[in-house]
Amino acid sequence: MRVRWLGLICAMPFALRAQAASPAGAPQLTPPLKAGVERLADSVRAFGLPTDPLFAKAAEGALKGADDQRIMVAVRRLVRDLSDAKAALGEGATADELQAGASALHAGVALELVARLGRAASEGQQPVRPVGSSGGRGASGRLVMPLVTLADMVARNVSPAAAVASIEALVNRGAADAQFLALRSDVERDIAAGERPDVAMQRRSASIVKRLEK
Amino acid sequence: MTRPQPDLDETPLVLKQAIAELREGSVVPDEWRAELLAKVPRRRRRPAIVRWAPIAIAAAICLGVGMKVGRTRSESMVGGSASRVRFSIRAPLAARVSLVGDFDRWDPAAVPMRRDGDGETWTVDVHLPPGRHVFAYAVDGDLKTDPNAARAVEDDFGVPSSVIVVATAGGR
Amino acid sequence: MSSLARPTQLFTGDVTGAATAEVPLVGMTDGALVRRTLDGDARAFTELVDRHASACLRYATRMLGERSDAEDVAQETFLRAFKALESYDEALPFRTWLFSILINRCRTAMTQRMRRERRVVFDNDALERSTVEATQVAVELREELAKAIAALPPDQREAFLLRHVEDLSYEEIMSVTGAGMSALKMRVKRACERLQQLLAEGVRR
Repeated sequence: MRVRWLGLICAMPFALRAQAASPAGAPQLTPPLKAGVERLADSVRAFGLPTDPLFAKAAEGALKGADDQRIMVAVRRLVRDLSDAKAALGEGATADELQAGASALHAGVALELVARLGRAASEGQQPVRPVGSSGGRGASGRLVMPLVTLADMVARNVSPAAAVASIEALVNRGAADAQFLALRSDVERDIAAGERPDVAMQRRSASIVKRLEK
Repeated sequence: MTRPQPDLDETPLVLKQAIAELREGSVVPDEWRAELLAKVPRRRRRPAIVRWAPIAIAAAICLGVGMKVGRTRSESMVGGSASRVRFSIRAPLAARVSLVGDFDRWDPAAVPMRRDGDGETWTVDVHLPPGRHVFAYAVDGDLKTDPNAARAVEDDFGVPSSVIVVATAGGR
Repeated sequence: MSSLARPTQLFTGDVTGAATAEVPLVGMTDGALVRRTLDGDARAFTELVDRHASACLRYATRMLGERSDAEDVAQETFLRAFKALESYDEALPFRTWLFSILINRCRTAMTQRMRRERRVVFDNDALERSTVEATQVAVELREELAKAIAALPPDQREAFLLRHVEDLSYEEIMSVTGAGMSALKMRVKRACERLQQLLAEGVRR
């Protein structure tokens, strides 16, 4: 089946969310499952983690016909990944960044590497009062694209160390989201054409670095 | 008469030896020091004191304003405005196609797609906030991935999904 | 009459500050160095780093038990100190002020590491228990001593190191940790007793 996908179009300035599903229409969770996910969501909320992803994961499982136990396993795994992402990225990470971090961890990237990317993005943050201050990241959402790129590259068999090194180099030079997107699709195409994943990653990111350093 | 209070600070010999060892200064590695000093941002001068000549003050202030403290950060889209994304899938024999994903809680009734004029392609435009979105197409009840999109790394349920990433508006 | 020596290294600070290049920094107080740093003299901050880096690394290594974590935390501390220099009050010794930053960085690093290693953030009992378990220790001291220090609960370890290794007075420790005097003394006392016990019998993991 040939599919045509037109990617993203230029931004519209207003902030509309995609329509949220009405509760009646959403895939139904059995009452025990619903209660279990809600309990987990309560704890998760107390730790400053986003709860929407938990319900989305449960709904996905329900739509895909998984049984309650399997769904609960997936939701718990997501909770672990989110909390690990928070440990790696720090208190100031946005919900989107945490989800992106969780996907990178899910793809098999080590926590330390995710944290390293987080540190690269936090250089130059605002000064903090020394006593009793908590760590935090300055800008919101800057890590989403780098982390998602990281997850995708690792899923395509780029070694985590090579992927992090390349992406870190881009983050350090302030690469734009569009450049990460281009990197992703170029590397995918190169791998599909038979190039070794690490080689494709290094080559494509090096050319972006060169452009950024001009 | 009160009992003499024990000296909470007395340190027996075993401990004294341990403490002596603990107090040995830590070696400061050259690379650590060099790395730290390289990270220290250039500091803007505080405004000069009045006793300087007016020209010197002006020069100092101009240079202070011109120097960057720390790495320049580009503005990110706080809150993120949504981008319009078009999803398309070719399904000439389908009766009903809809878009499902984390943005609509995987509800097949939430985002129905419309058949194009050619009768074979189904399309829908959706506003999605910046970030990563997992999705699939529900084609007459079966979930299909988008061959032109990346495969989602998560495969918790044995049924694959696709991923798109929406950049922040303006790209930075 | 002082003769100002020419600096032997290239001056990397503010180009407009020609006069600042020639003064030797060795005899200056920490407070004077802070003022010079704020005025744009990069060498002054380097001198502060050289004076206090060893103690920071020492404390962080003992507190965290892991040399590479300690190096990261010590670097972060100096960078934060640099950015916060304007808030430094010369009434407080510079090292004490610097240590207030270092102590907080260490506490944050430990919390993050506990979460990482336990992986189940929500099990509060597990979180409590994990504070007394010995974590992986890099060998910089004799292993037993390192293990004994690592086996102390974090608040006792912190109080003990600050008092007996870094030589802060109880008043100073109170001001940088926010703990009360009697609580602090009790922690130090318990730490001493426990360490003695551990060193005498060998640390069991």
